[in-house]
Amino acid sequence: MSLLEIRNLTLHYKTTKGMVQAVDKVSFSLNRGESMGLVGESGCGKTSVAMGIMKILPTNAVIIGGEILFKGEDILLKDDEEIRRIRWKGISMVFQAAMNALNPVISVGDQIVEAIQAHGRVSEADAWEQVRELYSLVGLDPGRRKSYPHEYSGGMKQRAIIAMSLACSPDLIIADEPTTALDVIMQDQIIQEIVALQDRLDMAMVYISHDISVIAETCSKIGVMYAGKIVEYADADSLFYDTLHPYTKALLSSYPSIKGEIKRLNPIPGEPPNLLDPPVGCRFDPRCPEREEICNSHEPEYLEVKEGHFVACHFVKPA
Amino acid sequence: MHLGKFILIRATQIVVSFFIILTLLFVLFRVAPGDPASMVIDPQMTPEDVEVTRALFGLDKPLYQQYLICLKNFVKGEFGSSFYYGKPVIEIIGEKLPNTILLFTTSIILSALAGISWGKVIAWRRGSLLDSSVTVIGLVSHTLFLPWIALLMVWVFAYWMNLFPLSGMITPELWLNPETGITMKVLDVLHHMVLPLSVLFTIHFGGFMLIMRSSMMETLKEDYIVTARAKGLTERQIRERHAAKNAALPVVTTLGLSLAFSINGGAITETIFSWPGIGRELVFAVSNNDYPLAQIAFLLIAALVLVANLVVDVLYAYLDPRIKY
Amino acid sequence: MGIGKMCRRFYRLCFIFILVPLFLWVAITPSHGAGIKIGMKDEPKTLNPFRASDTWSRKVVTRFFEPLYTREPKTHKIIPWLAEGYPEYDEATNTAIVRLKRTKWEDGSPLTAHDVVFTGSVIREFKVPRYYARWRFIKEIEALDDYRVKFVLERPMAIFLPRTLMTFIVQKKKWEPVVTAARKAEKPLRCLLAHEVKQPMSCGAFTFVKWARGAYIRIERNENFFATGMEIGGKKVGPYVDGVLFKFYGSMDSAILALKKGDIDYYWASIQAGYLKDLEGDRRFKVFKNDKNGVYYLAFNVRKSPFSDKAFRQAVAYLIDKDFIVIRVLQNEGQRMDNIIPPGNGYWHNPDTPKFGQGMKRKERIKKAYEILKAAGYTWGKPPINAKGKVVRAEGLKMPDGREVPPLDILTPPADYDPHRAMAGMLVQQWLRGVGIPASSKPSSFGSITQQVKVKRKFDAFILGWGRLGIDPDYLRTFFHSREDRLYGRNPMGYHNGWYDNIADESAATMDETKRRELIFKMQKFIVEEAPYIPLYVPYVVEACRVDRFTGWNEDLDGVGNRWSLFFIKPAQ
Ligand SMILES: Nc1ncnc2c1ncn2[C@@H]1O[C@H](COP(=O)(O)OP(=O)(O)OP(=O)(O)O)[C@@H](O)[C@H]1O
Ligand SMILES: [Mg+2]
Repeated sequence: MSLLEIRNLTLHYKTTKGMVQAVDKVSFSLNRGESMGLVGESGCGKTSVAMGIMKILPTNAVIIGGEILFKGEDILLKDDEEIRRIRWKGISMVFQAAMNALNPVISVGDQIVEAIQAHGRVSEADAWEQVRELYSLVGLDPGRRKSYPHEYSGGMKQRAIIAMSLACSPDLIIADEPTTALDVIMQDQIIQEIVALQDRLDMAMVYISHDISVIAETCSKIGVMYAGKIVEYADADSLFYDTLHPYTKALLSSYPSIKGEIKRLNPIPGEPPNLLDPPVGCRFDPRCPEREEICNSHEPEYLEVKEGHFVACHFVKPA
Repeated sequence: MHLGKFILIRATQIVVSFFIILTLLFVLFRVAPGDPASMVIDPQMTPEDVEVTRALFGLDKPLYQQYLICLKNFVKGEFGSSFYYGKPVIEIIGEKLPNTILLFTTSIILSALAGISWGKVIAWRRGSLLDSSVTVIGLVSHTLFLPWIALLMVWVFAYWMNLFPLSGMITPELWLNPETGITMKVLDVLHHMVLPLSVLFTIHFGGFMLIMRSSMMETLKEDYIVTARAKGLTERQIRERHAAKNAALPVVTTLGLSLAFSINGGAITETIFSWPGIGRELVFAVSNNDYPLAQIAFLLIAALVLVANLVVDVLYAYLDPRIKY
Repeated sequence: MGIGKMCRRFYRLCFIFILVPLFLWVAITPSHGAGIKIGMKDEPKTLNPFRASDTWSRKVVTRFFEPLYTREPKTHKIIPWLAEGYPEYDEATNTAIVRLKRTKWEDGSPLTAHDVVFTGSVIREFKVPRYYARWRFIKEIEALDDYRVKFVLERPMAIFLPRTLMTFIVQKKKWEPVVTAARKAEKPLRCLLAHEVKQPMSCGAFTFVKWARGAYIRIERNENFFATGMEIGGKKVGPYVDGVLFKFYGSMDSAILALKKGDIDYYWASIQAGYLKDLEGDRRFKVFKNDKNGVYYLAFNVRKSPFSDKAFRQAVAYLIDKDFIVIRVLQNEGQRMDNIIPPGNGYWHNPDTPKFGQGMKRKERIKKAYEILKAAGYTWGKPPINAKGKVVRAEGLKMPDGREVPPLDILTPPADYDPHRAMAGMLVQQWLRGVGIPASSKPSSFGSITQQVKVKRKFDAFILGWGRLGIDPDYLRTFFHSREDRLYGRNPMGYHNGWYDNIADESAATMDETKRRELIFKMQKFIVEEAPYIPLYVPYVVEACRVDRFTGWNEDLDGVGNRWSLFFIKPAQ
């Protein structure tokens, strides 16, 4: 049984202008200890999927359909208290906006302690001891654990958040662009650390990024999202060496290769569609270099074309 | 801790503001037409009597001399005597101020606490029936005409239902009785306090609640609220620990200001309830051109507001670790 | 810090706040203690009789300090009070001998001639405002023995008996140290007036018990009161109540509620018309309406034209419809005034004074004013009466000297201070404009009016009133005497008339009451005719008393709130 299995998750946001179709029939699964990358342009719905998994969506979000099975049980069917127990203990998250993810008026240590105490009878002293360990683990000075967020640098905050996400030894950790706010050197350090920790603590991880080169370094499986849908899903190797979807191809050519080959960077022409009113057929159709008649009227099916390699494109069919 | 230094600087500011206010008050009162002696319309007052009375008050001297005397006395800590009562103003203030503080601070604290706790709850349940109904109540309370609500409450609760005394601070019959114990006396004062307190509460509660509500709504959009929820904290923990504490900050700031603005309502309430406080005395002093008393009362209010703001600042620093002095 | 904890504490507090009073409500049922409960609008400012000039202080202080002579209820006839018999006056030497009754202070010590001499000397030495004027003409004052006082006057003075000898008397023993200390002070008078009387030494009907600041004053019956048992005006003097509890109500609303709830038996102030309906229907109360001893008037600055012209003033008098003001503005809670001395002061009031325009219709008033002005040489661009005899809009009023009548301001107190006067001002403005007088009513703060009228004496006209006129008519002299046309004087109109000055001075020096009355009558007739003041109206004093609790209220000029009521009322059975 997979640790996490998402089937046909569809999620919309209610706005004054209409429904934003942010996530559309997204499916993937993840085993224990596995790491998966979720990649796509800004606004394609990565965070929405992550939030959906933890059921911490904003109030205007509506889950239209699908299942989120965590350890075989559907999170969407659980009541508040059951979900509360799964949060952080089962699934924790490193947030995209680390700067604002910490409460400015509570000391960082306290914020970690409260997470620990929310999931088990742990004495204050023991909890603080755990914080000390977590700090060492992520390379923070344990002496700073009683400081307030504004007294930390950006990198320290990010590490603190990582420490916090590890506090309850979760089965699954979702890292939502954990490094966007940092400079390149710091980004690299943190990514290395995350990978190392995930490996060492034997957790499953969903790593979200718009940078496919980062994903390549960290994950064994990769899902490529475009405009609320997963367009291609495979293990890292097949995705890089047997790229099937035109969007993935475009994405790969727009980033410097991780293998060090010098490539010309080709930004993808055009803009992602407006999710208030997405294209009828294939959502990538307006920007696709390989588009044909069928693309703007029929939605391509999401099919397993090779073993473990899923694609949604009219021109890629199972062998 | 630099708090000491901060307080010192602020205290100096307060002293300086004090002198500016004193000067302003002096000018304002003397510029206003009519002096307390000539305003008396009494067939028995001969012109000589008026002159004598003016000399008594020191009003026969040129203005700049009056000002210098006023300043000199102020520095010496002599605030003069009330023209009207003939007593040192300090004595009058000493008599009346505690009553005002009792009523006023209690009402402000109670309404702030209630405003915060209700604002918090309705923002949490925004859009619900509770939210809309309580918000309407808050808006009504915020815009109520004070004398009207005061009289209505007196009429309903004191007269019609006979639950509370009509006015005043004590029941003379009870206090005159030598057998009355101290507990009874304290209870009697509390009993008298209920209505004026409720009026002030009603007037202030709405404002605090609405500020808290909107502040809380803003806070709930913050990322750290999502974090808190993701951590699996209970709703109560999120609301109280993460949201309310941040949201209460702007309310604390308005507390100091609202104190200044609520003086007016305090005077009206004191008048309607015959509450022997400083607000009523102030209104009386101003209409009587009793400069020394009016001056000291205004100064006191100014001091109250300045000190309240200082306290608010210190409190803010305590609540918000980002602020350091 | 837990906001939550604070809130829980808060709810607990609320709980206490609701519970305690409910418990109290059961526990305290204000017992109708012995005595009468009287509500007042404000707290007295002092118990020092030399300083007590405000209404509220006087209401309390006059319970303790009595004069040598006083006035009988209703007739206002002067009767011996602390004194025995009337003063023996020797015209040749201007000397008066006053004998005293054997009376006692509350401490049991006798009230003697020395106390009288002391009181008079203090007033004279310190020039105590309000009292000095009635003592300054006393050349000598001497105690012949313990019960006889000799007064030597500089000249015959009419106010000697009704004013000088009606001054309160204080105890020498109690005040001597205060006075000695005051003499040494930098400002002796200030020191004397600032003296705080904590426990007044009473010779009156009541003795002081307690003053809880901001809450109440309690006084009790003086068992040694000299007048108890005396028969005055056909009634036996008490007091029959054990005591009085004075309570203070900042607003009329709460005072009326207190009356209805039974917290007080009487509210010592005139009740506004709006509150009456409620009380009139209640059988526990009786509503008393009495004349007020005062006058509300329109006064002119007669130093400048056109007000210097008597014809102009009389024309204005014709234009003013006093009955309309009484009916519409006072809602009939008052009466028109055609005199300075109110009709309630029966002995001194001259009913035979000119009643300009009484009963006239508007058109007749305009015609009359038009005729007067025309005869006096005034001209119009467009007169108020056209060729066909119709009333039209007048324009371009010019004075006899050919200059235009300048815009004239009528100062009135603002509507929130006194709606009656402010409204009367508006009406007068309209009426004057009817003949083309460019008048405008200017509601101004009280301070600003007194500044313009009494200090700068630069104004056109104003509407003010006199209250507490007293029974003695000496004020008639001071209001219009040219000597009072000075800074802070009582004749700010600048009215000068030699004949009036003479007759006024004569009245002040006439000690024979009948003769003086003749002079005062002449003065009234003359001054109303001259019209430097146009008397407008005097409101009633409207009061409500619990007649089911106390009977025997003494209705009088200025209402039932007088010493006689407190002497006569008896608890109802
Ligand atoms: N609360 C919301 N209400 C309405 N629309 C929303 C809301 N949150 C997100 N969206 C919209 O849903 C879409 C998906 O947003 P989401 O944040 O999941 O994208 P993302 O892939 O995480 O983007 P980024 O890389 O910028 O973080 C976007 O078009 C966004 O504008
Ligand atoms: Mg995102």
